[in-house]
Amino acid sequence: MDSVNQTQLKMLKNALLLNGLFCIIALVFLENPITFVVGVIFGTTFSLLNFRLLYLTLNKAVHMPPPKAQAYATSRYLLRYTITGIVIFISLKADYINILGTIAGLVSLKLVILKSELFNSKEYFKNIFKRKEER
Amino acid sequence: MEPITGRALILAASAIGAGLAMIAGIGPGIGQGYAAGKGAEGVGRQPEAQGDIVRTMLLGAAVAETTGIYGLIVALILLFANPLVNLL
Repeated sequence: MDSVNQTQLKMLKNALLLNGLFCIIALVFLENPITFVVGVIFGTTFSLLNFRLLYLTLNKAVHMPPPKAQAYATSRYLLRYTITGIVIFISLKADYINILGTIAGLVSLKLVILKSELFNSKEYFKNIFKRKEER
Repeated sequence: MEPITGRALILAASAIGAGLAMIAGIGPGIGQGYAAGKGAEGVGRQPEAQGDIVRTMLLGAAVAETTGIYGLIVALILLFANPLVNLL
């Protein structure tokens, strides 16, 4: 399995873990946790599908000539953005979906990526306080 | 002519705010397009590095896309579930 697929699988597992944690916290602390959990499931599902769509887009774009790849990536971004808008609109209008849960599900992937790729080494935090010449 | 009510003023300001919030969606689109163009150049120059290029671009694009989603959420909340109207 190549590194891109491994990364996707890792992100999927970590996102599911994080959202499971969100659901457990909601079940313990919220008065009406079911709507929140439905929102988290809705947001997470869409977020992961969006990530997969992004991978397919980029994988196709790198085989195109650069100007065409640029236009293709931007047009597909607008498509994903529209779908995201529809998802948020549905969760705003539907009474059985909590919008905060949906937002948590949508944003969780970013948290997972930052955690696993940027904040995973102590060197990153040490380098913040080091001068450029000292590194 | 009827005077402008507080509710109408809030709704008008919210519509303007929603429009301004949608500007946040433009940046990631331009950025992703630019990154994809440069990625295509990179793969053309060094085809064996395709996996690394796509992986880095995928993670960067996913993080950048979330910024646009924030703006979209703010805009849609202002339009369809405005919390400010209930404060009157």
